Amino acid sequence: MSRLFQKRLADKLHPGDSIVSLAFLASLAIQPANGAELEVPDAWLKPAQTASQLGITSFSQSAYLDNRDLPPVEERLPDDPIVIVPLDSIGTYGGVANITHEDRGMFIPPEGIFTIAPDHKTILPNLAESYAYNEDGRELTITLRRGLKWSDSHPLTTEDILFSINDLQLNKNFMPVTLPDFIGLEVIAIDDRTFVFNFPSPEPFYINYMAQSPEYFLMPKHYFREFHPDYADEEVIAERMEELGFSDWSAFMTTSMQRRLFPDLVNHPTTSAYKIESLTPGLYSYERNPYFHKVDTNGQQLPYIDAIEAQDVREPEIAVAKASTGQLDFAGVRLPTQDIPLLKLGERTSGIKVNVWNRLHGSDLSIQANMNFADEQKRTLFADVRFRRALSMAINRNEMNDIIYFGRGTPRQVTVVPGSDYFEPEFATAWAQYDTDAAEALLDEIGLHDVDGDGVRELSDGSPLTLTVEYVDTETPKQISMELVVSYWNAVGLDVRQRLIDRELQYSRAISGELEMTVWHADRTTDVLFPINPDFWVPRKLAASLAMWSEWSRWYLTDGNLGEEPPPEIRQLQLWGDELATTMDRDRRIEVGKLILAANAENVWTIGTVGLAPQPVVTSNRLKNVVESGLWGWDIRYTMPYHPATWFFDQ
Amino acid sequence: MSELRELTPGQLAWLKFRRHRLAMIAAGSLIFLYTIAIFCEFISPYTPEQRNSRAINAPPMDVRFFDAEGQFNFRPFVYDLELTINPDTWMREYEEDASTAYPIRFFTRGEPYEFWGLFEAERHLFSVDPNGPGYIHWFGTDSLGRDVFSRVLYGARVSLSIGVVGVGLTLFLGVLLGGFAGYLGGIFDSAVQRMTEVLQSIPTLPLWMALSAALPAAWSPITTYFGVTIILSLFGWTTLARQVRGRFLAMREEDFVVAARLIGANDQRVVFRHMLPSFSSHIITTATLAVPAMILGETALSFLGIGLRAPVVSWGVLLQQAQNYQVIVMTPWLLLPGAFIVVTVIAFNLLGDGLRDAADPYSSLRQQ
Amino acid sequence: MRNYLARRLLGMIPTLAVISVLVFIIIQLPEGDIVTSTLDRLSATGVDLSDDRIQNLRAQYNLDQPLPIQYLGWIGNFITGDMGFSYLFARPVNELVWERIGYTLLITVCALIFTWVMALPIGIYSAVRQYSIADYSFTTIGLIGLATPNFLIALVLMYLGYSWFGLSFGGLFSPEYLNAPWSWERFTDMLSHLWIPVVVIGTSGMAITMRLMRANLLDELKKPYVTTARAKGVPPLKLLLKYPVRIAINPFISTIGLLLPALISGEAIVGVVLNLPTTGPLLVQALIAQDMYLAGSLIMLLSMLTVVGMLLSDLLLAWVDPRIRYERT
Repeated sequence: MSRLFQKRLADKLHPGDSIVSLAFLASLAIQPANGAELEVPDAWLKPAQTASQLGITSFSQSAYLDNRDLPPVEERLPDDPIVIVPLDSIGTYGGVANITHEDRGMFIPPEGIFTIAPDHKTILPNLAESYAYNEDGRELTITLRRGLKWSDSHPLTTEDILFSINDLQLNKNFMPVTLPDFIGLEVIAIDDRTFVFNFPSPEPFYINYMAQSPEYFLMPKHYFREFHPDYADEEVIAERMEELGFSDWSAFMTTSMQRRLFPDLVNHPTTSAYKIESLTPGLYSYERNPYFHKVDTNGQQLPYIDAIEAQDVREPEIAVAKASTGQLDFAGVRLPTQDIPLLKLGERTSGIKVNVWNRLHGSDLSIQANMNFADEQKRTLFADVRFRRALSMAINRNEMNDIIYFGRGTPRQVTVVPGSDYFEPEFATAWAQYDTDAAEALLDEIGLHDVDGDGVRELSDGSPLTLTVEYVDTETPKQISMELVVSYWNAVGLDVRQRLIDRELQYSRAISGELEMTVWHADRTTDVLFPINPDFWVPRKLAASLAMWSEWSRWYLTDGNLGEEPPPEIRQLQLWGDELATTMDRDRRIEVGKLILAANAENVWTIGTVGLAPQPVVTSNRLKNVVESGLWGWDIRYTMPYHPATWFFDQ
Repeated sequence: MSELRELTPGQLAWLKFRRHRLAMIAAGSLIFLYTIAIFCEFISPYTPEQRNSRAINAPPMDVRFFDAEGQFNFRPFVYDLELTINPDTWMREYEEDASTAYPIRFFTRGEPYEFWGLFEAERHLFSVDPNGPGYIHWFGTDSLGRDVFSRVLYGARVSLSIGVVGVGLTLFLGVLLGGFAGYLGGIFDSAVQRMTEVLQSIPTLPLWMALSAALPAAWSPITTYFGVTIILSLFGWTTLARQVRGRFLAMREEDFVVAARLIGANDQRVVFRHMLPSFSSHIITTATLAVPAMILGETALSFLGIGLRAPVVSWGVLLQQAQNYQVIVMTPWLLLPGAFIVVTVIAFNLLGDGLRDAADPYSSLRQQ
Repeated sequence: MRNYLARRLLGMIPTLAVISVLVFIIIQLPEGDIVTSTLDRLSATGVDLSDDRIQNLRAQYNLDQPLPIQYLGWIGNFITGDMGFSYLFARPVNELVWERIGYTLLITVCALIFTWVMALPIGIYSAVRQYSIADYSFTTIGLIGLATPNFLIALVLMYLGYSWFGLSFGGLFSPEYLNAPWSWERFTDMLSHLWIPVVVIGTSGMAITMRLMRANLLDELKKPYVTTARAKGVPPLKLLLKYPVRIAINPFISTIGLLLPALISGEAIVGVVLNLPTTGPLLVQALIAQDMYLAGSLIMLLSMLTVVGMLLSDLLLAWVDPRIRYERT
C-alpha cells in the first residue's frame, strides 16, 4: 500500500477524541496512579506490634478448629504473636472462598521471614523478630520469633533455614548451578532462633530478596529430609520417587522448588494462612492453618475465612465469565483490562465489586529489539540509537491509551513507578512523544529509504527490510497493543511481521538470543526489586523477559568466558548495577540508580507504551477488608502488603 | 408425432439439478459469496486495517431512507454517531445524532486500495465522502475501530479460497493414490489401504496443531496461508481415495477397460482417458462436500491461534478475536463472520447433494 | 467368526505400529523441546544456562540419543503400560490420563448415542416423507449444526446455560460437587453440565448420519420386495422396521468407525472452551508446550481408542451381516 494513503489513514485521528477522554476522566473520582496515596492503617507501614505490646492477653480461634484434638490456640500461636490491624473492621470467622486455581497465590501469599509494606519500599520483619546488618553490609543477623511452628505443629527453627540453604540451595546435586543470590553465602546458627548470613560482598538489599522470594529460605527440614540422600536411605528414596512418579529425587525437589510459589503437595508443611487439604484435577481445596502465627487486634487467630476452594479454570474466558456473574469471591490474575466493561456490568446484577487497581508494570509492553541478534544487518540496525528512537516516536501512545486502556493508563517508557525513590519524570517521557516527522527524519538519516516506491523502506544497500516480532500474549494486552504498534510502524514505512508463540519457545529463544524482536512486560519497577533486579535496565541476567542483550548478559554471568563483551556504555551499566546492589551509602545508591535509568531513557534500549494500567480485581460484595485500589504485580507478590489473612465474609 | 429430443448426459444432469431447489439456492449463494470475495476491495467501503478511532466497538449503523421527520430521501444515508463513555461500565455508547446525516454514494471515490495487489483504485460500490468526517459501518466496528463489514468481505477471500485450493490438492492426492491402488492392486494397494487406515485413526486436530506449530514465524502471510492449506488438505484424501479405489476395483473388469488394454493402451492412458471420466461427476461431488471441512478446519486452527494469524484476515481469525464473553454480551455483531461460515458450509453441502442427485444415472426425472 | 476376529486383531498391530512412528515424527517436528523449557523456567529465576547443565538434563531425559533410540524408548515403555513422565505437569502421564480418560469416553460415547438417537428416527422419517417440510427442516437444522464451528456453539450454549438455567460456567460439575463423593445429586449435576458438550460434539456428526440413513433407506425403499410387501398388505410400520431399516442400518454401523476420530477431535476443542476434565484440553496444552511424552502418548492412546472402536464396529457389522465375514480383505 502506498505511503501516501497510509498517511491519510493515520490522519484519521480527530481532536474530538482527547476531549472525550478528558471529560470521562473528570467525571470520576481521581484514582491514585500508583497506590502511593492509598489509605491504609499506619500500622501497616511499620513493623507489626505484638500482642504483649498491645496488651492482648486472650486469644480465640475459629469454630472450624474446635473438636479437632488440637492443642489450645495459645499453644499453637507463637509465644508473642504479631497483631495485624484490619483495614476497615474486625472480621468474623467462617466461610469458604471460591477462587480460581490461578488466583491461589494471590489469595494465599507466602509467609516469609520478611514482608513488604504497602508503600512498596519498606521491608518489615514478619517471621523474624529482629534483624541487624553490620557496618559494611556483609553480615546479617536475624532472630526469629519464639515459638513458631509449621502447619503440622513441628517447630520452625534455624534448622530449617540451614537445611534450605546448605542442603538444598548450595547442594550441587540439587542445584548444579547455584542461584546468584546464594553464591558464596554462609549461614551460621547461633541458637535455634538466631542465625547469621555472611556474604562475600555487601548485600544491603538481601532482606528485599528474602521478602520477595521467601520460599527459598523456608523448606521444612523434617519433611524433606525423607527425600534427601544425605539424610535418608537411597533405596527408600528411590521407592518414594517411584511412588510419586519422579525419575529421581532431584527432579522431585526441582518440582517442589518450581512449585515453590504455591506448594501444593498435600501434607507439605507451610507457614501460610492456609494449607492444602486435597488435590484433584479440577479442584484444589485449602483449609486454614491451625498454626498460623498472626492475630487481629481482638486476639482472634487469623485468617478469618475457614477454607478455600480453588477451581482449575484453564480458559481465561471462563474465569472472566465466572467473575462477572458472581461465581467467584475473588478474582484478579486472569482478568484482562479489556473485559472491565463486562465485569462492571456484573456489579449491577451479580453482587460483585470491581476494584480497579493499577498494575505496577512500568509499561505493559517492553518492546525489545535484539542487539545481539545473529543477522549482522539487523544487529547493526538495532544497535543504532536513532533507529530505536524512531521506533519509539512513531508510536501514538495517547491513542493506545484511549483504545486499550479506556484512557486510564499512563503513556510512558519502561522505567520505575512514580513512587520510587529513583524516579524522575523525564525517565518516563524521554522519546515518548508522538512525532512521526521526527521518526521519519531519523529513519532517513540512517539510510533506510524507500528505493522502489512501494511504500516500504529498504536497507541502505537496497535489500528488503522486514522486522519480525515474536511474543507471548500473556499477562498484559500485548496482541492488541502490537496490532496498533505495527500499524504505527507501517505508517512510517516499515514492514513488520508479528507472530504469537508459545511461552516455552519464548523462554528458550530469548535466552539463546534467537528472537529478532519480542515483547515482554516490565515489572521489577518498585523499590522492592529494582535495586537487586534492575534487569530491564542492566544486562546481568538471562531470562525470557530480556531478549535484547542476552550475549552481553552471558558475558557478565560467565565472567567473560561466554557471550560477547558489551560496548563501553553497556559495560558501565553493569558496573553501576553492581554498585547499586552493594553500596551502603544511601545517597550514592540513589545517584547510581538514577544514572542507570537516565542512560536507559536516553538510549531507549527497550521501548515502552502505556504503564500503570488499570487492573480489575473482582471481589464479592460479602468480602470485606480488601483495599479498593492497590498495586498489582510480581514485585509485591500481588497482595502480600494488603494482608489477605484479614479478609472476611460479612455473613 | 412430436420430435424426440436427445439430451446429452450433461444436459440431463443439469435438468435434474435444476429441480433440486435447495441446491439451486445454494449454488446461487455461493456464486454470490465468491463474487464478493473476488471483488472485496471494490465492494467494501474500507480496507481491513483501517481504524476509525471515533467509532470503537460501534454497533451496526442503520442505513436509512426515511429521515427523522419522516421524509423520504432517494439517496440512503446514515446518521452521525454521538459517543459517550458510560462511567459505570466504561463502555463506549453510541446514539444517532439526527442533526447530521452522511449520504451514501454509489460507484464513488472512496478510500484508496489496491485491487488484488495489482493496481491502485479508488472507486467503491458504496461509500460516504472520504474527505468528510462521516463513516459508514454497516456491521459495526471492532475494538480497534475497524469496519467489520470490510473485514468480513476480505476474510471471505481467504476463507473461501482456502477451501477450494485445499480441496484441489486433496482431489489430486485422492484420485491419484486411490486410482492406482484400485487399478494396480497388489502391494501398492495394500500400502495405500494401510496408509488410509492409519491416517483415519489419528485424530485430525492434534495433527494439524503439531504441524501448524512447526510453521516458521518469518514466513510471509501468503506463505503461511499456503502452509496451512497444505496441512489441512494433507489428511483429507483418504475418504476420496477409498471411494476411488472401490470404483476402480469394480471397473477393472468392465468391458471397455479390457478392450482398451487389449488394444494396447498403457496403464496411464487407461486410467486417465477411460476410467476417470466415467465417474468424474462422483469426484466433483465429493470435492464439493470436502470444502466445508477445510473451511471449518481453518476456523478451528485460527481459533486456537495456530492457523492463520493477523494481519491475515480470514473468518477464522475474525472469530478468534471475537471469542469472548464480553463480545457475546456487549458487542455481538463481532460474531457475524460465524453466520457467514454457517451459510457457506450449508451451501456447499446442499450443492454437493444436488450434484450427487443430478449426476446419479439411476435417479429418475420423474417425481416419485 | 473367530477367524475373522483373529485376522482383524492381527491386522491391528502393524497399523498401530505405523501410527506410532507417524505420531513420533510429527511430535518432533516443531523446534524446541520440553527440556529447554524446563531449564528456562529455572533460568527465569536467574540460573545461568551453562552447556553442561543442559547436556545433563537432556541425558537424564534421553534427549541426547538419536531419534530412533528415543522412539524405541518411548514405544517400549508405552507397550508395557508406562506412558512416561510429563514435564509440563510434573506428574506421570499415566496418572494424568487415568484421571481424565473416563470422562473422555463418557462424553464421546454419549455424543455417539446422542447422534444415533437423533439421527436414526429423523433419517427414517425424512426418507419416508421425502421432500416434505419436515424433511427440509431437519436437513437444515442438521446442516446448521454441522456448519457452525464447535467452539462457537459451545460458547453460546454455555452462556445460555447460565442465563436460562443458572448453570455454573464450564466443567462437568458445579464447584460444590467437584470433589464430593458420588451421589444422586452429583450425578444429576453432571448430567446438567454434560448435555452441552454432548450436544455440541454430537450435532456435527448428526447431519451426516441423518443424511446417510435417509439415503440408504431411500435406496432400500425403492427395491421390489418393499413394493411386494406393501401390495400384500403388510402394515406400514412393521414393514418399515422389519426389513428396510435393518438393512439400511448396516452401513450405519460402519459409520461409528468414521465418527470416532471426528468426535475425539471435536472433543479437544470443545473441552478447551468448556474447561472439561477430559483428555482434549490436556492434549492441546501438551502440544503447545511440546511436552513430547504427554502429547505423543495421548495421541497414541486416542488413536488406539479409535482403532479399537473401528474394530468393534466392524465386528458388529460382521455379526449382523454374514457376507462381511467371508469377504477377503
